[in-house]
Amino acid sequence: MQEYRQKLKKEIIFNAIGAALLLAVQTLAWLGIIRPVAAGERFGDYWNGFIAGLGFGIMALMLIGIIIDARALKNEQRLRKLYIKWSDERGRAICDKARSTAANIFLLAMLPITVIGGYFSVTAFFSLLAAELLMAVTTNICKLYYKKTM
Amino acid sequence: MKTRIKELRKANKLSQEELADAVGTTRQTITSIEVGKYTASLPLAYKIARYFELSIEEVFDFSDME
Repeated sequence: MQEYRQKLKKEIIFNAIGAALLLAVQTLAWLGIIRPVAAGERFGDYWNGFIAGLGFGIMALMLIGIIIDARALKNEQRLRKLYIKWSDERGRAICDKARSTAANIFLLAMLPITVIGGYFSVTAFFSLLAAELLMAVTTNICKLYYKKTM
Repeated sequence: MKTRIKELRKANKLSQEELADAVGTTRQTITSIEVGKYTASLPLAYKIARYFELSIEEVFDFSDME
């Protein structure tokens, strides 16, 4: 439980830094010091609003995370509940299985999409190919790591 | 995998929530183990068996694995 307490403290720090960073960027954008790349083009305003909304959304999630973690650290019962939810083996197994299944589907589905994409845009083709290669390399690095540690 | 968890729980007048709390897992996990959808890990099986003061073999049925 002590280890989990430390994890929550680190999570609070990470979320606080992230939220502060997002707030700083949003403030700079609001003051007009920085602008998203598409600003000034046809959909500039729409893009500005979208980026700002996304930023505020992520910031709100980080703040909610901070509140949940801080409340759990102050109350032993809440901490235990959160710990059980976090360490529940079935929940973890579901997450792991969902991630690996999604990754397999993604890799398989991307192959024909990449080839088809090649007929329409060279940029799209190479971007998709790079994403797939990165995914495949990362998977194999993880496999090697787990072969050594498990 | 078949288990005697439900039967033992009823005999001890325990709810799924209470058992889950006692062994440090969620109610949903206990439900899944009881209905045979999920097979508990060795540490969790040990915790459950220990809670009822029984051995793992007395709580979990391994006959279909033989």
